[in-house]
Amino acid sequence: MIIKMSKIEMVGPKDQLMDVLELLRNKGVFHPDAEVKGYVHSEDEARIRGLLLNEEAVGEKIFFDKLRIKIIELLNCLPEVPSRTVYLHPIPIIDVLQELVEKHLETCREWQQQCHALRENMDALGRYLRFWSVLEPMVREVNGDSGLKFFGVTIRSVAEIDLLRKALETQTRGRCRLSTENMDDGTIVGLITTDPEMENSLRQLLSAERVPELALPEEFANLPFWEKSSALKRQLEEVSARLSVIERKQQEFSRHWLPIYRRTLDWLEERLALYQATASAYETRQCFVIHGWMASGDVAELRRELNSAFSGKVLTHELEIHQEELDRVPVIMHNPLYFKPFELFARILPLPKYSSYDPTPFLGIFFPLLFGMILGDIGYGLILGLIAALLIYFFPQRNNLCDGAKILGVSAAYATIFGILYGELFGDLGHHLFNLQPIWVERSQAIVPLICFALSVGTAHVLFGLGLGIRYDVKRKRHREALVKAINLLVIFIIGFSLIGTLVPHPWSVTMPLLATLLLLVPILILAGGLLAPLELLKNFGNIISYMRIMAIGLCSVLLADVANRLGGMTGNVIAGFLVAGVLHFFNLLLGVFSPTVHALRLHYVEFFSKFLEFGGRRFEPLSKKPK
Amino acid sequence: MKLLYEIAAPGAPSDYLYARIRSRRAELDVREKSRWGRSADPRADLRLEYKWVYEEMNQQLRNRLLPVFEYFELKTLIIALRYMAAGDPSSMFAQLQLSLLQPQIIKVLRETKQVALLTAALERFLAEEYPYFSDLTKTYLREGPGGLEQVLVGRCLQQGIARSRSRQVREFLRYLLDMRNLQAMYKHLRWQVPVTPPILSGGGLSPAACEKVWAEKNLTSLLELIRKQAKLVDSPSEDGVEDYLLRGLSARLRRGGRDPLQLGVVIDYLWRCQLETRTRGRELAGVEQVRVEETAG
Amino acid sequence: MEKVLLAFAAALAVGIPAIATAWAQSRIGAAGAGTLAEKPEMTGTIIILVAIPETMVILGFVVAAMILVMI
Repeated sequence: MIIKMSKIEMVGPKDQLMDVLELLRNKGVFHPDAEVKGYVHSEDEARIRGLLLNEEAVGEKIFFDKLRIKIIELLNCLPEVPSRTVYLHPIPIIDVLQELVEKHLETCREWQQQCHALRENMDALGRYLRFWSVLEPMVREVNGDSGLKFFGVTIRSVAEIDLLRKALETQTRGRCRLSTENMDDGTIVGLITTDPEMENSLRQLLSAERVPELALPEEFANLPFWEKSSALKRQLEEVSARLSVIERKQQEFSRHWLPIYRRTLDWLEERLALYQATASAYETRQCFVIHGWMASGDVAELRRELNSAFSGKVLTHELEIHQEELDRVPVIMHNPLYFKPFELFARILPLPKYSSYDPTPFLGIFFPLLFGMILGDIGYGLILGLIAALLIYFFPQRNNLCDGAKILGVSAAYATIFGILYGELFGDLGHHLFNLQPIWVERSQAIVPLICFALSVGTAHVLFGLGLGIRYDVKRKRHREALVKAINLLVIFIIGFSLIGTLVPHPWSVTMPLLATLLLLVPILILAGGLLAPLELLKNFGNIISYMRIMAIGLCSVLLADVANRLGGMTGNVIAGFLVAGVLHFFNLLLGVFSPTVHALRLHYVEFFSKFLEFGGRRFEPLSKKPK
Repeated sequence: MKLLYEIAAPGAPSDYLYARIRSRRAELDVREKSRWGRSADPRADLRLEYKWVYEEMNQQLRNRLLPVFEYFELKTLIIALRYMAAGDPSSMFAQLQLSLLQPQIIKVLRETKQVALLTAALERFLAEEYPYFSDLTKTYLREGPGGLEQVLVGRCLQQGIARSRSRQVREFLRYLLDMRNLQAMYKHLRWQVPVTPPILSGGGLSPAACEKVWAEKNLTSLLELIRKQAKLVDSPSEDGVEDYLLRGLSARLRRGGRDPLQLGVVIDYLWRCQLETRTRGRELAGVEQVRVEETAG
Repeated sequence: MEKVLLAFAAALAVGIPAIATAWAQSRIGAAGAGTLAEKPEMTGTIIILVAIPETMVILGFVVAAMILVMI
């Protein structure tokens, strides 16, 4: 439901503006409006002007802003550590912090650079070590002491090995050998062994062929090959130790300073948000004026708090909301416990206007009903109910999932009820096993009655929508639109009534009077709604026919379930039959959740809501501590 | 050889790409949200965005939009040539990053040190597919880098108009060609250059109409012609003819880009990315912001 | 013969709208996938939009059922 709102004007002494704004922000119930029109009489507009901060306040704002940027930069340099919450007020230490943050930033940046360099070094050493641990056994194999020259290379793909081998043989006239090995990450490492004379020409070849040579850093290059691996490990350990020393320092620093800086940042952001909020305030020579909106139910309490906090110096007036302002009123929706989960579906739509309706209760009432009519199976209903219960039990924290599960639960209950009416338990399985009989109608055999039923549901739903639309238009004083809708409603009603007459003859003779009324209504419709009004009427009939999907999808669902049972029975084996039927029922169940959901929603969004809902409402965005 | 690299992958369905581009285009309207509003290097972002569009397109769409991309990439090539002529290889290499040019062309650009050698190589590569590249070296030696640019862009537009099968693409290129003609006449008239400006055929304005205005040597009638071409409600000022014509093009492309399932969406988006790059570039350079995409028509 | 014609008419009544629905859904689906790539929060809306052309085939199905059952 859309909460009743009040249009508020607050007036108080100029020097108390920031305190008032702080109180309003703490309460989080007031939506400021920077607009003057509609709040102040036009002759008074010249007397008030947008509030300009004085020089001191502007200086303070700039100081806070700069400090905030520095603190954000510092926090980005610090590692995340579990820290305590600090409740200190930053004002007494703000000047000290301003000086400290510069020094801390410098130190932290230096640490960060050192860490970065050390990590890069470690990465490189790790890479060398990995390559070398693959190359070392290969060098050992070809006798590393023989005075031969070795080249470690990385090869991009298996296809390149043969190409490289051919190129090497041509270049060195067969005086070299290429051994390869795959690494864990899929890279191919190659070791080229050749005699020292060939070294230069080989290097040229590798460069021309763009085969990257694995060159170790200078300090390792000259070591004997059996020492390389251990030297690399030593170096890696040393770098790692240096890195952990710096990381320890960073963590120590973080533990000490992070909570203080976080608290200061929060405070600064709140304070700056207050300065931001002054943009919607106005001033006279002595006073400030703030306009805005809040829920009518909160006005009395806010007034009481303002009175006690400012000894009656800040006055709060409730102003009258004019007809032309209705579209500017921010919208808050609040629904009882049962309807709350259905806000999940209402959120897909744009926000309704303040004077319009909250779609949630309508979805809460009609969605499960339509879902149940379509699915209508005791077995599927019970399974879906069980799934919904499990989801609610295991994921109570995940709000959207939990809301979805609650909707599924309600819809499953309706599916079970309609299942009893249709006499369906996993299609016709209930009939075969327990001789389950339909209380109302057997869907697979009664297509025409179901078409009539679906059309009746559609007519009732669309007429209800039109009725709500008429009420809304009258409320908004749009009499012509209301008249067009009323005629639409009457015409649909008359035609529906006449159609019933063809199925069940009326005990009294009304056909002629009805047709005469119809002929009378159509010209009025054209006069009131223009030449396109009859098209709108036809659209309404199209909308009603669209409800036939209730029958069509339901019929598909029941036929699929019957097919599953029949195929299961045809296997001639209990286990195989159970498996085949189970798999098909599972797919039917999946379709049975998806299809009715989408189509029931569609019937609401397209056919039902288009009759009375007006979207384009303004979101309620109160001054509050955390952005909502 | 084609100017731009070819992609074998089939690409995404057109409707998919149009939807993504519409979404990105809508983001451009909220500058704080769009990447251009925060971009530190708008030119690199622009190249990245063009590369994304080019690679996401399917073959059919790519073939239809090829003249547009060729026009934009020809500009990349020309800027690279300019940097090379100015002896600034690092800026040239930066320009070529994320470019859509063929890898062989980029390789030649990276490895060749002299402009004349480069034009010869480009002639060899591209003359067959693009006849206007056939006398590139001669043009360069005769007219220098500025003249080369004029000739190349003009002929690229002419060929694009002649070859394109898409109405929107032809209209876009025609406008650009007309814009070049009008600007050339305007500059010649304003600075009282006695030589007849080079008028290129193939645009929406016939060369005869342009020559008639030139024969009158009347700045007011030329400005009137510019106004008719841009189809804007306000009149062009003498200092802002280029911005005025660009605004006209933006308005035209925006109108063409309204149909959500047409090629115009892509051209409009590519053009608006250009404008955002330009605006952000000006912001970063500290020049007063001039949003040329603000349309009046 | 009449039965064959009735069956054929019913098949056309459901088949042609099915093709039309498939075509419309393919385009809406492609555009929807593009929208979702940029704005994942639109999932719910896109699912509904994809389902909208299904009306055609549902009405076709109803007509086919009426041809077979009522006539």
